[in-house]
Amino acid sequence: MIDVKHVKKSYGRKRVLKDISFTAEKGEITCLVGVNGSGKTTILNAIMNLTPIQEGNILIDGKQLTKETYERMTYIPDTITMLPSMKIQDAFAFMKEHYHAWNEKRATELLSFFKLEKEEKIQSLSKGNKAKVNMLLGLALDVDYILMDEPFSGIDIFSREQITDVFTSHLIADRGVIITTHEIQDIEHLIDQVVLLDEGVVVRQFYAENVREEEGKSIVDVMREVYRQ
Amino acid sequence: MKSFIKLLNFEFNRFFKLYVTLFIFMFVVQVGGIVISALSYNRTVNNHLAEGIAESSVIEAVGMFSLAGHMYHLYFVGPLFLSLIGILFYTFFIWYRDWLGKNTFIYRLLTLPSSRMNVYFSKLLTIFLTGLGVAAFQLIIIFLQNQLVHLIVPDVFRVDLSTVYVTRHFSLLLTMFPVNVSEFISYQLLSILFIVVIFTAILLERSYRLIGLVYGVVYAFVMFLIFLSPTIVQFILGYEYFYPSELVMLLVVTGVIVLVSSLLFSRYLMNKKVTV
Amino acid sequence: MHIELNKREPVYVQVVRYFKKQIASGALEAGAEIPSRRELANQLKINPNTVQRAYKEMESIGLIQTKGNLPSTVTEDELMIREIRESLLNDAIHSFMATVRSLRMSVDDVIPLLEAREKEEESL
Repeated sequence: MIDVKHVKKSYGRKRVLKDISFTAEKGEITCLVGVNGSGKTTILNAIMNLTPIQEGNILIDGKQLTKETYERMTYIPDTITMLPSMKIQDAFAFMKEHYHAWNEKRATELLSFFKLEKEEKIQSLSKGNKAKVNMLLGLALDVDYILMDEPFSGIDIFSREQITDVFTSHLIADRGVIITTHEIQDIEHLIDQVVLLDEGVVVRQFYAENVREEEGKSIVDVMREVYRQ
Repeated sequence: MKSFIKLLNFEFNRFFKLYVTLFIFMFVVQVGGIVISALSYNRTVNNHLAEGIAESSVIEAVGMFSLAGHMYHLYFVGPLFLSLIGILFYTFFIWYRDWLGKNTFIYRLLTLPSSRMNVYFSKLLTIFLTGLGVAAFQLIIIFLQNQLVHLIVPDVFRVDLSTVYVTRHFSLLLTMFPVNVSEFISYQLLSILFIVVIFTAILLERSYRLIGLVYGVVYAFVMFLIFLSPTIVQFILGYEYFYPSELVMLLVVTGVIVLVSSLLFSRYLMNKKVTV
Repeated sequence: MHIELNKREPVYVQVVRYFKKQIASGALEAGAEIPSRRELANQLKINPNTVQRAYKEMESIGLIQTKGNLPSTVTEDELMIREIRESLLNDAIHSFMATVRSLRMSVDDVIPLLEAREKEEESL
């Protein structure tokens, strides 16, 4: 479980996170929802210690983050985390060199699933393909937790379908996933838990199926309610 | 440790093309320069000889050719200076290139399952080794220049200076190739200190951004003062209070203090304060 | 398999209903194997946990059975299947009657219309 407790963060004078608390369980897909600038990316960055927090605590499986945690948790940000001059095979070699959790077999499988070639240079790939490679680098690690920032943004519909396919496959199963998006309507059926953010706080946190059962509302309905104020 | 070596190898490979380009540039300009110079001297001498002037008179008139006359020429000093400036530039660029632009490789570097200081030291060592490489290459070039001059200019018109002699008698090179071992080591440590202070300032900027820039500059300046404090004290007192050997020892002490505290501070920044 | 899913009703409920319809209509025969949890999630493009919940629900009402590590199968209980058919029919009747009433008609008005319709469809 990833446990975020009362996290506060500012960039200089600007308070981005005022009081963020939520949990994300292993085996579930948790979605952070909020408008652009609501701090979703910052939360993911904070969990990965890519940015410091001023107050609060983040525990991964009950412990503070250490360098070993990076073998159990990975981040797929919205830009590619490899040098553009590298070929895909170079990126694979780099990952294999540095991570015990790198699964070369799965990486190759995913590569053919996404219809990409090892010899291609990252900088010559289309935006959609770059995003797929980025995702591949994260999914090919045998980690317990995957964080994804806007995995569907700016991608053509076919790439989007491929990525959606990934979410319902064995590649994600049993792992804890946190994704951020501001376009949740297309993926409502994939989400276990929703965390709604507004102005730096968690305004509502719920399980999608429960809300459907108890209130007869879709995720988008709840969002409309919450954000109307 | 393994991770550090892999990162070092990685950093080096990234830099390799630029490194080779730099060497080629140094080679072409410095060796080309001396060759052109020597050929031009020959032409002048031959013109004089053709007019029937005796060798000894020619020598009196135009002098003999040696490397000595060329160590301050632009074609020698220029590439050397450019290399050093290039290294200084890369000291900054080696960090900023991973942060800025479309490249967000820093995300990868900061989330590797090994100490972030491995990233730091791999960059530090890359810069340091590059500096050593340039110095070594410069020596090789001087040696080559000697050989070529030997081939081009006839014996009578030539004053041969050994490579070692050349490095001992021209101030710039004397700094690069100090005479005794302890000086050499001190210079290496000094250059490491210099790089570490710059790195710390860079990390301050990367942790606090705009205000971090101010912090960085102030930090570098303060470290500079602390390091030179024995000299400053002496200056304030107005006379040579310390024996030279005492002064050196004090500078070593302040140097170590600055180095260790900067490294610890860098580690703190890398682990706790740096932000993407 | 493909279902049109609506977002306001629990997905697992919709999945269970879909299975009931398939079984009642015979598209899924008694004793037939059904896809694994993961396969179904992938086919329907929904969260595997949802499928898990649906399967659990269907197990608890006896719609499907799982023996050990083998794939789950549809019940072979004829009585159960008939009950499902009837309950689905009752749901249809319930919403139909609501429409009839809203048009301020009665069952007597409707029966001749139904018979005529059936005759029409038979002759096609």
